[in-house]
Amino acid sequence: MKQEGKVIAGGDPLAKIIDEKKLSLCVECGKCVASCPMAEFYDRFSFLFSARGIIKKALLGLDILKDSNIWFCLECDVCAQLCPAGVKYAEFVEDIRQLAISEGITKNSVVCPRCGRYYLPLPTVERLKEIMAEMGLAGEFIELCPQCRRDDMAEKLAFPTGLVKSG
Amino acid sequence: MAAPRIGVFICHCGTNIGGIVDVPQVVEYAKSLPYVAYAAANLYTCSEEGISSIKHAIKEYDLNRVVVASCTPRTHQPLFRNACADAGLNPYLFEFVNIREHCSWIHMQNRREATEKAKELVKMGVAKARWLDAQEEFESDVYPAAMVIGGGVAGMSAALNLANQGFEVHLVEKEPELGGRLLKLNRIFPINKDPSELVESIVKAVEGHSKIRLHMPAVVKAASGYIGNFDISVDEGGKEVSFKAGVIIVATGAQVLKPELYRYGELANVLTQLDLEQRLKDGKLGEFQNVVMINCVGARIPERPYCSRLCCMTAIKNAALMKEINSEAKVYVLYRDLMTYGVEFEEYYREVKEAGVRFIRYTPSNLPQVIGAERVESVRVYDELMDMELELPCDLLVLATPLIPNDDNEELSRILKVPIGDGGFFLEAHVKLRPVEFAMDGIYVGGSCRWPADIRESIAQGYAAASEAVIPLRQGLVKVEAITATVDPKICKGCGTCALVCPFDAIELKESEIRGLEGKIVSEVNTALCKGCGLCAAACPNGAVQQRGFTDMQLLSMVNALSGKR
Repeated sequence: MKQEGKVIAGGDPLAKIIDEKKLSLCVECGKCVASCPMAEFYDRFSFLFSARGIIKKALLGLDILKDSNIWFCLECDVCAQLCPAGVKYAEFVEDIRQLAISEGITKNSVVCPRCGRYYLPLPTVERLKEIMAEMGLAGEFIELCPQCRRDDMAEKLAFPTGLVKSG
Repeated sequence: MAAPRIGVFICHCGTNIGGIVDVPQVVEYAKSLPYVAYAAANLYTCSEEGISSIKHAIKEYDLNRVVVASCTPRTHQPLFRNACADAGLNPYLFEFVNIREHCSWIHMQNRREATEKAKELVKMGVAKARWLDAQEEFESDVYPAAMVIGGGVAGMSAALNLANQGFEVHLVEKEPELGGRLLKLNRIFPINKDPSELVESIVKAVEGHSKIRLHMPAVVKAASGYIGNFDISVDEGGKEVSFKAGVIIVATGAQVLKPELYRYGELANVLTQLDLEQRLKDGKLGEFQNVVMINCVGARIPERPYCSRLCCMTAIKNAALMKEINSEAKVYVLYRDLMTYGVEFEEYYREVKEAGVRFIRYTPSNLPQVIGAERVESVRVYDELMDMELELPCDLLVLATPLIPNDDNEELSRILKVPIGDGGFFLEAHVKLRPVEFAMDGIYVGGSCRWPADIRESIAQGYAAASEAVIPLRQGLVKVEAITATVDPKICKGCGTCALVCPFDAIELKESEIRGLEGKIVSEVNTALCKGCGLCAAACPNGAVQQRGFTDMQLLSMVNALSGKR
């Protein structure tokens, strides 16, 4: 089915990120797609889901902040290591996620219940829970952000011994 | 004539031949052939040692024919002919047999049969050598002047080059002004400079050169003759001017297609790249916010299948310029394939992408659509990879159209008797080996009249054509290899078949002036024009036309030798 894309004027913060992460240098070689581990994780992996597709949509001025595909990347950075043009894709994804959250697009971002900060995309958390369930591990282990998880552990383990003081 | 005494030299060519063909066996076989007075093998016949062995044998054994069985005449025939000449033998009494490309290289898997084939090839060469005749090469003087047709950047470069080497040049330009296509351009890629800087300095040099005679506005009306001796007549502002030239360079350029696509000519804000350059040059472009450029408009389609080569870079250059004028503008380039060849152009492409110009690929099966009633308002383009129809806002649509041949190419081709190839551009003698020459000697070609060329290529080709053209001018004498056709007027019936098939217009029907044949209509070959292709000799119904070095007797004796007849 043919989709339709209305080209919108990209906002200034987005244009700045596109510029900083050198998206315009993309030569559409597809090395990022070939190297992306997401192809094994997700059945929905496609051109529009891939780094190359998202770069293209961003360059053409499509509304990628509202695009749910930007929330799947694990930021492993393999694509950027292989990119012959020097596009910093993982850094780009990180920045546009923050931009999306700052513009109130939060349905795919998971917030730490303890500190209230965004720490992982929803698809990643869901997938991790699935994997951990298969391994027989407790899913709630990842409900906190890494910092709070450490703090939580420290409190549980260290306070009884009196080694660390709270606050 | 003395009885033939043939010397046969079989070359090992290192292991190229010797590793496959049993050379000593072939030498022994050659000795058994009729009229062979001497046969020997060489490790490398083309070496100093090999050449002196030929010269020595000619004297020692009183040889009057020489056969070398080795590689290809393309590279080594002149060498062996010269060896004969040095030993006092007419060089046309030499015969070449190829037992490398035609034998050892293609029969590596079967040595025994390769040896048998080498023997047969040598037998045929010897059979032909028996009938060889001494020949004299035709020589003619070269008039030390050139005509260059076209006063664009290619033609001016060629004219300047020849004039600076001291030769008189007639430069014929049909417009009243020198400069050609360059006068209409706004900027030059990839340096983004005003072309007037370049063109003015060249025009000044041409106009101020004492050796260059300008004919302007003028067109060539007639040309006759051959290399070294062309008689030319031009119409110079209604006045007929005639002059002589030894060589001719064709550099007439091309024109830009005005398309009947994407509502060009109907909507005011649809331009070609050339229109855009003109408006930028005149400062009449006005405001713009959203620019869309479409490449390959009217090119690489069934009726015009070629790539015009310079439109990609033109689009990239003007897209960059649009961004330079208005950095807020959105600039999209819709392309089929981008050709940014070479390091410099690729770098330029990268810079333009960084400046914010966006590139979208379209396919010929799904062409972009122009939306708008009186002006273009948007362009819809289908992106195949995304499977998505994009609507790009647009207030200026620019179409990159190809260079197409000039309308008067056909007439010039008729006057100069030079060929036009597919698509209507002039056709060079060989795209790689003889790129700036016509098959017709003494006429050269360069720039966009041959194939779309950018400015640097046009200048380079202008210089290349001049470098080729200066060879006969400097030598002052042209020699024609003595393989041209001859007509026996006693046998010729004047049917004209030979004149009809000759691709070089070298044969004329004339009244004979020979005693006893006065008034008889016979064919006459102009040796200066004949290229020795042999068509006339093959076409002659009664054998009156013979090609020197390839006579019926010579060829039939080769066939007879092969079939075992003597």
